[in-house]
Amino acid sequence: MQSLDFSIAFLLMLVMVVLFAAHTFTGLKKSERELSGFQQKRLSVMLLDGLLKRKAGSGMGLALFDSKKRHVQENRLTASIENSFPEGEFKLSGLKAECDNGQFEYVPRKEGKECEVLSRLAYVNGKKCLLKARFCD
Amino acid sequence: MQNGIYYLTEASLSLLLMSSFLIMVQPQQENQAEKISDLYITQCLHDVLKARFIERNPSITEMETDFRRLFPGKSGFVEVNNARVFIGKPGKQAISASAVYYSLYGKSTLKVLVYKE
Repeated sequence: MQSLDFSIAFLLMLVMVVLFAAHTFTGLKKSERELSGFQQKRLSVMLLDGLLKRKAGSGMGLALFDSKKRHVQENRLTASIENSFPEGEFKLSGLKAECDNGQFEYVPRKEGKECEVLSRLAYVNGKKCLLKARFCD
Repeated sequence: MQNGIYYLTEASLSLLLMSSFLIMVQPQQENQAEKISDLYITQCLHDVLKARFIERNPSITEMETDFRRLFPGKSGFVEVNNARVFIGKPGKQAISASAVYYSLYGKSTLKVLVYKE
């Protein structure tokens, strides 16, 4: 009788452990996905901010948010963005500047399934622009 | 019989403990994601303020235009020297940023606030 009770308790315990393990496993899988998405967003936010803080004459010659309003060649700007966000490594699928004097597409890449657009204000060639960076999966 | 109850109680307690650990871990990840969104919003608010410094013009109209471009569909307000312009309806949680601009004509206090919800 005692051994039967013990067996029932053991079985119940086993069922609970299996259920808990399954829950933890699916939960971890879910959080792993969320974390990678979160890490990707953190990277995108940080890199975009770093890109905006660069000044003309330093490093790769970006004039975004350049208070001195120096003239920067468009091709140098594109090259800087390409260097900062190499294709394949980062999910930057496009970078468009909507400026007072027109729209400029600096990194025209392929469209993705799930995209997130981060917008920042920037000065390109002395013109105020809304910089739209599109990150796609 | 007593042994069975003892093991069952012990297993239940362990399960409760492990569950509580799991519950404690999950909100942290949510908080981290929220922190990044808050950081991004703060960066955008700083952009609105920085633009006024770059153009050397603490104009409330320009601030409102920049706000609407950076936060389409979001509500909040822009403020220059206690003159406030509201955009949209007030929400629940908010993030704000402020700066003081000094020029030959005096001091200007700039403030920008965005509602998260």
